[in-house]
Amino acid sequence: MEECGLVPCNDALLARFLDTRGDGDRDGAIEELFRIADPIIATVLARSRSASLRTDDAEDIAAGVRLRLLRRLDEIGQSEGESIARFREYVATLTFNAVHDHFRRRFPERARLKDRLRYVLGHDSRLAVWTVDARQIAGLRAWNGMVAAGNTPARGANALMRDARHPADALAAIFRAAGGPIALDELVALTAELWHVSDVAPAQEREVASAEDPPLARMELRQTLQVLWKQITILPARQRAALLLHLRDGEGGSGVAVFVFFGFATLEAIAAALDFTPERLAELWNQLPLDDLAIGTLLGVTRQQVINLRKAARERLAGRIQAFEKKKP
Amino acid sequence: MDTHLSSEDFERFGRRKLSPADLLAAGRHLAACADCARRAGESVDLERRGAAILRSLEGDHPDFDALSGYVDGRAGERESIALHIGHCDECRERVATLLDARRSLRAPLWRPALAAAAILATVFVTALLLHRPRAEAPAAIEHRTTVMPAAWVSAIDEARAQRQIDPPSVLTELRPPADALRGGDATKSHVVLQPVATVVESRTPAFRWHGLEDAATVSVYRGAELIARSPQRREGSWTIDRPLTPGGTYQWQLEIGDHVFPAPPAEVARFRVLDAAAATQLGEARRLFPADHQLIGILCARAGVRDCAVRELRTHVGLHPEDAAARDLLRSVEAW
Repeated sequence: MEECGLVPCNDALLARFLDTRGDGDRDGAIEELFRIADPIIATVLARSRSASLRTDDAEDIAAGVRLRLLRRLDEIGQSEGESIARFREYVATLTFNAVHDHFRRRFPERARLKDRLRYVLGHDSRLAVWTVDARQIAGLRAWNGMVAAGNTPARGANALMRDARHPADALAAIFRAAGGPIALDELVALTAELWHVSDVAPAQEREVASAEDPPLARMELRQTLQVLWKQITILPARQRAALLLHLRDGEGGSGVAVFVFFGFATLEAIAAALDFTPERLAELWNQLPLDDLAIGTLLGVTRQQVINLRKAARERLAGRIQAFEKKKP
Repeated sequence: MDTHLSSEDFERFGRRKLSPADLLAAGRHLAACADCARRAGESVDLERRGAAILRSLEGDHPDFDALSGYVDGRAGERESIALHIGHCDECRERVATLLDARRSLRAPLWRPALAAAAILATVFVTALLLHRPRAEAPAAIEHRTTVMPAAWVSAIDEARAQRQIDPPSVLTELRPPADALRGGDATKSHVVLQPVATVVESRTPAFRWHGLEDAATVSVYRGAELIARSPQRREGSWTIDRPLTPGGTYQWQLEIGDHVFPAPPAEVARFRVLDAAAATQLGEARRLFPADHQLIGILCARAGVRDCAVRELRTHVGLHPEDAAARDLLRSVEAW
């Protein structure tokens, strides 16, 4: 790889972004990069789609990936030490990681296994993992770049393949028996079977607060959410709207309903926070949470500006919530 | 929607199945009806959803590549990742998984031929060494660094050897009878107070309560003497505005109209302010060894300052996820 000083050069796709002067140029350049990134994100999500990945989950994941991409572009814009050598691959990797993080909470044992395999594949000199057509493929290093063609071990697994204590040796044996690379997700399924790894039932979401004293944990959670609502109400108007209209509750629903149920806000207060009439909020309620395009249309801004507004809101809130939690006795 | 809301109404409200007119009516009813508002707040999955909201706003968790780099000791975001996993159980467990994977790479499967060759080589080299004149060992080089007091070293060694820290006796003295705080008044059995039966580091602690709808006044006593009283509060917390005496034992209560909670003398919410000597010791530990979270956590635990102990030990475990002894210490303190 060509080096620009101590770091790899940036992908040529970033040339316009790196050359921009002024916000107008920069916004246009970022929007162009998003147009390249969106189909990659969509392809990875489509290949990951299963009964467990709902449409709103996919949208949530995509929004998270765009936010991470925006942050990374900010870092590159501000520091010569940062770079993205292969933009398309970087976007695909961000999306793979985000999908993995999403499933990790639902299927923690399988997620743990996948982390283990990815680490071993990336650190054993005989093995490798690479991306082809928005899919992660694993195999022997000599096969790097090849497509997985439905390879599986031709015969039953031997003792070496079943030895989970030595995963690198086991994987090398599996690949030799398969005769070719294997898609990473299929490899995870195969090793889960060989090494007896299973999630009996999807795990429950973890509580943020400590679990060792449930009533105290519930109290702290409610108080933190109450502080959060108050802080949301004093955000700048467009940041507030970008955040609230997009807020998710982890169950596919809108986070604003949680504030109503906890008693921190009435519907009228939420409408006021959004600069809506209560009737307008009621009309929109069943569509919440909205995606960034819809929010942009409502606010009269671009999707990228919506992401920026929400990013700014989150940074402001994160700092204030942390300050509140530090004051706990 | 003039009638009270049913469970199905709550479900439809949360799942966005109400018509706009019904939604507005339900919202107005919730704002006006304390009973329905209370039932809404007790929805089983409400806290899980609230936790998910907080999680979505707490900032990004490091992704696989960042955590892999952290495990490999690569620079970059190492410091910020270490701080993150100090308080994030999920990411800390991911780091532990990756460390296991790294250890598995260090223990490759021995092949018999290589094993035999290694044994032969060891025997040969050992025989050679036994017949060589011994060289004088070089003099030890003394490095001057901040020397930890022997008492602190002993405290760490003892705790790690036992792999647990027992609560100090002061906490037993402060503890009310089992469930006294919740059992005395059945209508207040769900109220939670903090601080109770603990030592607080701050001389101006925050008093917190949850589970009361009404505005309450906080009164702080030392023995029979009223030390401070708050204005009426609805927010569920109040920070005392005058410093308490180090080493002093206090009790506090909430006054709601004519009622007092918890009701003395059988039920009291007691706490102690960290005494001056222990406070000085903790201050010195933080000054001399600011990055030694294990030391500070153990000293806090010995002093009965549970919150500090849990926080510091969690940070240490976050920075050293492979340290099983420290993890046991953390669990033992969390279980107090």
